[in-house]
Amino acid sequence: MPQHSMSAHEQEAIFRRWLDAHLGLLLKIIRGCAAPQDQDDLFQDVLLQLWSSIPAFRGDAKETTWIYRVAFNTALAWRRGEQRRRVKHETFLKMEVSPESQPSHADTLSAQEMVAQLYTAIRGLPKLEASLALMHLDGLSYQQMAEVLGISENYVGVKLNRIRQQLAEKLKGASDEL
Amino acid sequence: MNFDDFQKAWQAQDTAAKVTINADTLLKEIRRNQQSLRRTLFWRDVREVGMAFVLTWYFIQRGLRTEAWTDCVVGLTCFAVGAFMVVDRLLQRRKQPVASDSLAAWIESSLLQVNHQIWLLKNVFWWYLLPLSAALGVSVAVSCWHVRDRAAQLTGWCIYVVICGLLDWFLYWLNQTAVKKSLEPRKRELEALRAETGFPVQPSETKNNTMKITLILTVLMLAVLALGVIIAAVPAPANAAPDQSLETIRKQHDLPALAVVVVKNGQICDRQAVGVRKSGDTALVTTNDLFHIGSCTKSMTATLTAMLIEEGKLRWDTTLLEIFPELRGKMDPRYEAVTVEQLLHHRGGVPGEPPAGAWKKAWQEIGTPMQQRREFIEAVLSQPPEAAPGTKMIYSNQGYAIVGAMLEKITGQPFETLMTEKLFKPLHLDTAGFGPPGTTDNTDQPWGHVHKLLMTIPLQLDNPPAIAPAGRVHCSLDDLARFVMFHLHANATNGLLRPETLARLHTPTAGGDYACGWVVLQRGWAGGTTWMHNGSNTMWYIVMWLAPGKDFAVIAATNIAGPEAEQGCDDACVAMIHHWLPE
Repeated sequence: MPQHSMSAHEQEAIFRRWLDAHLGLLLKIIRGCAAPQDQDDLFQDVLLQLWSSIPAFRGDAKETTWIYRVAFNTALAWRRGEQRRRVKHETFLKMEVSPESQPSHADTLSAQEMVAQLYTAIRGLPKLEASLALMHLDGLSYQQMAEVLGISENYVGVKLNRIRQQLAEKLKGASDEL
Repeated sequence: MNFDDFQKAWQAQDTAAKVTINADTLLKEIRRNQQSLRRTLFWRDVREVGMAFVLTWYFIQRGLRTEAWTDCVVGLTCFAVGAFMVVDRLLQRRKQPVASDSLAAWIESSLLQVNHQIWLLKNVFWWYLLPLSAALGVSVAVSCWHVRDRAAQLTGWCIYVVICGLLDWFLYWLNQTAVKKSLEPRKRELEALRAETGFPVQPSETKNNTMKITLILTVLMLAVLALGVIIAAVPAPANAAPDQSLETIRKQHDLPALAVVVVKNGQICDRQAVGVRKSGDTALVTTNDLFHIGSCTKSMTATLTAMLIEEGKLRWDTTLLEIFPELRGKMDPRYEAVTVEQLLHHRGGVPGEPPAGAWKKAWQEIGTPMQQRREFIEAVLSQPPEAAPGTKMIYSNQGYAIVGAMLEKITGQPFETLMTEKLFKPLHLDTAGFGPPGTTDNTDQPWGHVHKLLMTIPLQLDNPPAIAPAGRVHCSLDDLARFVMFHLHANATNGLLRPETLARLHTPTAGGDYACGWVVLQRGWAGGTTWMHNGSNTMWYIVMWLAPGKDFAVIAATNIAGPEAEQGCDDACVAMIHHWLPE
């Protein structure tokens, strides 16, 4: 891994800034990639990888692209059980009850439910498609998505068409049941 | 409902609001995780690679020291395996997947890594198990070859084959299980991902290149090390032929030091000393260095007794009761009639092993040596004899301790003083003394050594003074040679002993071969009779052979005990006999 000299202080500053700016993005990826009971573990791993990747980060890469890549790569490499041996000394993270079953007042219910169903649907997709769906919902351009995944923009287009259909079908089915 | 609605709802969700993060705790946790990961990897490397190099060092230094080429082969093989692992790890480190790569690139490098690991584990037999087992096999085979007994040869070899075979099979099974249970599922997962990204499956050419580079680098490193070993092993140009052969013997038997002195026609004709005074130290032994002579002390005690007999202080047949009338009732009555000469011939029935309590007490060294001896022999004599006195030879340090105590009782002087005044001074054995030679914690003289757990441990210890008359003398080999010449030349004893007295010291009990501190044996090279004795206080070993018929004697000594020490000293004596008695 190419590393240029970076003080621990600088590394910490960048990490805190990224956490401030991109926490929402990271959490969306975690929720899209892991079942609720595993999200805590995966999140720790993603943060650890992100921290380790900072010394290799240079200004020429786009911050969000970088973070998407690290998060996706970690999420795809991550498997349940491997982390079982880890002893958690302290919990730094408090996740409230996942949005899937979050009760709320009536006017926002449909939007919240829609999001919850989207997460469930995304987790049911193949891994590559899940990552595309997450980025697409976040409104990334084809070019950005292609860059994160290392595939051609054309291929992104082809895939997204199918993903949109699949999501629409899954959510339609769900709302029909209601 | 269309996708734009999804997107709107999606982007409106306030994910972060539901999460509270303690950044300080998080950073602490991350640092701790990173450290523990590094520690795990570091210790894995130390365990695997470090072990290989420790074994390399151990076998090669042992091989060089004892000139055993098989040890060098094992060492080089350990090195090759270790080098292979190091080179492989260094090459692989450069190609590790980088988390910030694009997903496709990351999948590609992860796949390469998994494939490489599968290759390594699948081939563990070829690069790990086979080389090590083969090298050890050669070593074991050569060792077996040296054993004369055919059955032992076969047993040794079979034990090796079974143990090695089982171990190899177990390790192979362990590795293949890891491939099946963990690596192959991972590989399939990654391949499925790659298929999703729509990339064609590429043949992994780079992997083969890496293997080639790894193998070439390993062979190169091995060649360099082998060259070094060969250079170190080629002996320096010979200065003096006999000296070199002694050094060869020393190395062969892995002795810290080895020294010989040869006496012919009434003078010292050869003296040599090779090796170091103390294992792990640089100080070399010299021909003037002092060696502990152990039980070779017995012939000196016997000679001193003979001198006092000539002075009329006692007779050969003086009994224990005559000397120790005060012990009547305390001493087992069967000891009462035991004579001095019986004790010197180990025929007084005195047990070979000391009574445990008295022996423990002797090690505490409370009181003067004279008091210690007295207390010790009283304890020995209060116990029943091992055999009826006069019936059987039982080699016994206790018997000689009793003789020493007898001399002390008669003269009122400590044994050490008697020995110094009556024997060492008149014979000019100026270096002779008692206990470990040299000053404590100094290498001004050689140290004794013991072998423990593959290590050679230097020690400055000796037997307790209670048994000094049986084996606590040290002296230079020249001085021991002077004592030997005194025994060889009945007519040149300067009036210290009459020839017939000297002859009596060399005469065993009829039917036996033990005289007074001398074992009397017949040897072809000696043209008949030899007088010999060996000695060891368990940290030194010495052997002396006298051939009165040839007016010849050879003494070999080393500062370590055990079978190798005995064999080394025997080999040294044989080499000297071949050289100085060529017929």
